[in-house]
Amino acid sequence: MLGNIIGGFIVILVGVTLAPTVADEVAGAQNNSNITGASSTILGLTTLFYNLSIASTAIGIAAQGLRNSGLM
Amino acid sequence: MIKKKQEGDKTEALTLRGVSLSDKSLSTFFCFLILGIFFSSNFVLAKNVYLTAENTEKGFIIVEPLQKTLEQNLNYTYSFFVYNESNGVLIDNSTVDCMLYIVDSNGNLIYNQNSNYTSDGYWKNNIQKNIFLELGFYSYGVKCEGGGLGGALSGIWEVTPSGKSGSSNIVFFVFVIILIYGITFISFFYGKNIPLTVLGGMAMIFLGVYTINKGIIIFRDSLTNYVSYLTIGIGFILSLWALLEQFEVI
Repeated sequence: MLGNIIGGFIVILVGVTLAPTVADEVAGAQNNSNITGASSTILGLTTLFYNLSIASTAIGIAAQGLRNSGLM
Repeated sequence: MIKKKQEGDKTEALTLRGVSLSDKSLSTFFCFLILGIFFSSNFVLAKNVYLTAENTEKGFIIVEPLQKTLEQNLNYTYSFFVYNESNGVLIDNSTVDCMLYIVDSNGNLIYNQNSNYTSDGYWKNNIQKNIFLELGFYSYGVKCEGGGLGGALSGIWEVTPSGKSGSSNIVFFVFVIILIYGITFISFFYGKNIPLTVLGGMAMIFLGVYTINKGIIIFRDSLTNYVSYLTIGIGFILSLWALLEQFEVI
């Protein structure tokens, strides 16, 4: 339990710190002339999925904590 | 008797010549010495003038940066100095015009603009990033002319995704790729460690986006883009899988 919480916090910390970098890289890749059309659109969703991973980790930690405490 | 007289005349003549010639020869020697110095100095001056005239006709020397690798899709400022080859004097734009030409790998002229002279004594061209859209080699040339003189040079730029060339960084790049893949796969398949798998998956997402943007050192084409998409996909799937296990959905 404690290991999952600590690991989860590390994931959130690292993920949030690197989120702007990922967003910048995605924007730069979309500006690249080699990436056009659907590829560019899907590539733009990478930032969203990246942030969803961070959010899901936080939700997972919270849900597991609630489940272990019998509230869920 | 006659012989003696002849010998006496000869002796007298020799004596006379010996006395008089020693003075004459001294005078003659000094005369030749003075004339020699005079003419030799004139010849030296004439030779110097001739060399100066010869050097002036040599034209200009153009000194350019040694950077030969440029980054794709990025503005680049090309700077150079122009010197008079005969005396090394820096050339400004008072009488001289310079122009830069760029030709793509197919031989098409894609840039020809006059160079701007700066107050710091060098010439420059601001080349927009849309000139370097394609990877590969670009030939360029600079010509300067004015005042009856001129100079030119030509060279090749290699445009790469990262602006680097050679294989010196490949080992490091491969090490990072193996490290990120290794951490993610080992955490997922062997360690069954959910936080580390999510962390590795997110790193794979970043790695994929980075390789789309920057390429792999000097390579960026459809193959590297495909590998990048694959990396993003694997990273996303493994992260999602680990999170679903965290939620105990699967």
